[in-house]
Amino acid sequence: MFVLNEGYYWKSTNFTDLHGVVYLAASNDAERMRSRPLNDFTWQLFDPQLYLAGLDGNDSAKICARLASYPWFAVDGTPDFISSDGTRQAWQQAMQEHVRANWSGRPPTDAERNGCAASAVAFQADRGCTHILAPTPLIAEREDEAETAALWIDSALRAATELDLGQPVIATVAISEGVLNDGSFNEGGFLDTVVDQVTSRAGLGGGYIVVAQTQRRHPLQAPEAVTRIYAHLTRAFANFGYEFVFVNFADAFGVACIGLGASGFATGPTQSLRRLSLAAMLDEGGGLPLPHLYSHPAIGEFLSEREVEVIARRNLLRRITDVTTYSRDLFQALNSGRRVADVPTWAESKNNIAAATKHFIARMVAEALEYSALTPDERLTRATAWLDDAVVNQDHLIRRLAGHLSTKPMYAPASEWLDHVHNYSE
Amino acid sequence: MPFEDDLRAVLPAHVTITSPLGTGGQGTVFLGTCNGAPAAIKVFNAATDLRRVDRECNLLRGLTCPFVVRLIEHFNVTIGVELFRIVVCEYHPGGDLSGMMLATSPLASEADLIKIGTEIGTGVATLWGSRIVHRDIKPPNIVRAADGRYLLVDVGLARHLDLSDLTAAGGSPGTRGFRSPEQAMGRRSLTINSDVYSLGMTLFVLAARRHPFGNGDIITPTPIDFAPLTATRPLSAPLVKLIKQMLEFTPARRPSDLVGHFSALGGP
Repeated sequence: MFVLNEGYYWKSTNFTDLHGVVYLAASNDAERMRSRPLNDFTWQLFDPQLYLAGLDGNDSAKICARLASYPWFAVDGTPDFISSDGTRQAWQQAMQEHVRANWSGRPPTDAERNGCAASAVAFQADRGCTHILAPTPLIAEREDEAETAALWIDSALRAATELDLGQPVIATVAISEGVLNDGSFNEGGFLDTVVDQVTSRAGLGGGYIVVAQTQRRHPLQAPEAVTRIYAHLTRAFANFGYEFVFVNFADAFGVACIGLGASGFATGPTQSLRRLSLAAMLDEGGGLPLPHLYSHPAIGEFLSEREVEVIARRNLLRRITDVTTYSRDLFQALNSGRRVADVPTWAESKNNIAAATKHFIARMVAEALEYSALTPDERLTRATAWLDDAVVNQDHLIRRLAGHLSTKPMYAPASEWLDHVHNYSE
Repeated sequence: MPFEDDLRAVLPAHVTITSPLGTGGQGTVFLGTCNGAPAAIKVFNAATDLRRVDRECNLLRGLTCPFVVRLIEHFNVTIGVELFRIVVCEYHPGGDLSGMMLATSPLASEADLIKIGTEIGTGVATLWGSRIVHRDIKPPNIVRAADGRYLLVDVGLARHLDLSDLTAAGGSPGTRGFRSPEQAMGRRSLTINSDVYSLGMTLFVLAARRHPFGNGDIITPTPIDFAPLTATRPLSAPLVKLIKQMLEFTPARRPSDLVGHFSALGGP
């Protein structure tokens, strides 16, 4: 149900009770993936991320270097990693130099498609993945690209048949938010074209949905079109009868997708693993983050001292209370009148984010677990009730905190999310 | 006809033409022979995109389906300075299903409709196995063989030809009234679901002897009155339900295993 996007630094071993892991090609190069045993999760996925083939090799050399280490990106002449020849860091540096000169910024050609798809399928099978994600390019501009993505799915299905794999093949549907307009959501519109292309392929076990954002935004603040794509595709694939409908990079909206029929969702411990922002993939150093408390009842994030403490002082704590193993101390302290600074794991200092990160993931795990015991109708009811309450909580917080905060809490557009759930569940 | 004479002069010795069977915007079909056997010989207009014709003809030559007319060969001829694509298919003199729509013809029975659905559904599924979409399924493009089989004709060739038409006329390819909504909207990347709709509309028209939209297309969800299907004789509720599903506006809601559905109704 809930699956963690595993990054370079934050690993699945940092968290407990995970249902599964998505290893991302952009975060883990081929050498790293080959040299480590995978953990034993119920769902073990590897996303080949062919949809990132359009990145700029100069601006995003670090990520492109990791991607280029996989054969399905068809980058010729990549330096081999030979441990006796030098350090891993030197190899990564050489890879970055190589992609700056050789990364095409395009998916492989039609002639290369079958071979590239087969290599991605074989890699996942070899690593013991429980589902095989068909690599597909990003649908970013035109209707033709939906058909091209479907041809990649065909190639992956053929490869899986030839390898006689037992795992289900899942269609990756990666769409750029830039491709959409209002007409896309109409019956017969662009998204139905995409659904038509996917569902007309016999032998698929489901859909893996990714929406790429063109801007750099907070994961909770995806534009309305982005969350609507997730809702639209989730519902369409669930109605079609797929057993495996998986949503990635939708962050907490993934919970709403479970209500709409998704069988699982993934998000991650860092912003870059929570949403897919093409603008955030540039080679630039990140800042040192401050701890934010994620509150599921309010679908918001709050700076641990400057915001959470004010909320507590204004007797609004129950609106954001969200207790997990990692936030219990914080709420106990606040409820007994102590300061956040008295709880070292939540003190608002740079990079003191371990507890906040683990709390967020623990909340996603716990929430998904609750849903897993419910029928489809009950899931929809639970998701609707959650969003209903969140709308009320947010409204209350915004009104009661007006003029009392020097910073701005990060709220998800709960009302918009609720509309999606209502509209797509009818 | 000067063109026919010119054509005869450039055809290979084992292919002959006798008389035209029909002419459309895409080209002309002649009755003739190939290695002495009756054949339908289609001559495409010179403006056709030959690469696409070649690709689909090559796919079609590899198909073996008793419900899809067999493509025997394809080649080019040059008349003057113009290149023409010739596609030779087997010929079935039994006639197409247009006649079943005439008021003077016996009404299609439930068994007829299920047989057409099963056999043409099998043809559609076989084509889709090679990722070919017919794009022009309608009564005139379904013929009856001497042994009683129904076969799809004009297979897979509509695509590139119709794209030429699209450029010329600014409209959508296919035949008005039988096009799926997505085809009528001008979508190019169609799937088997589009052919399923067209076959559903064909069955509706054969059963009701009238078109639900007055021979027009729909591009927005539009309710269909299914009463005419059973107005003149009973049809089983499962068959009517299946035709309804085939005519769903949204492609993914149409039945994905058409042959299985028709087989469950007692198809051959």
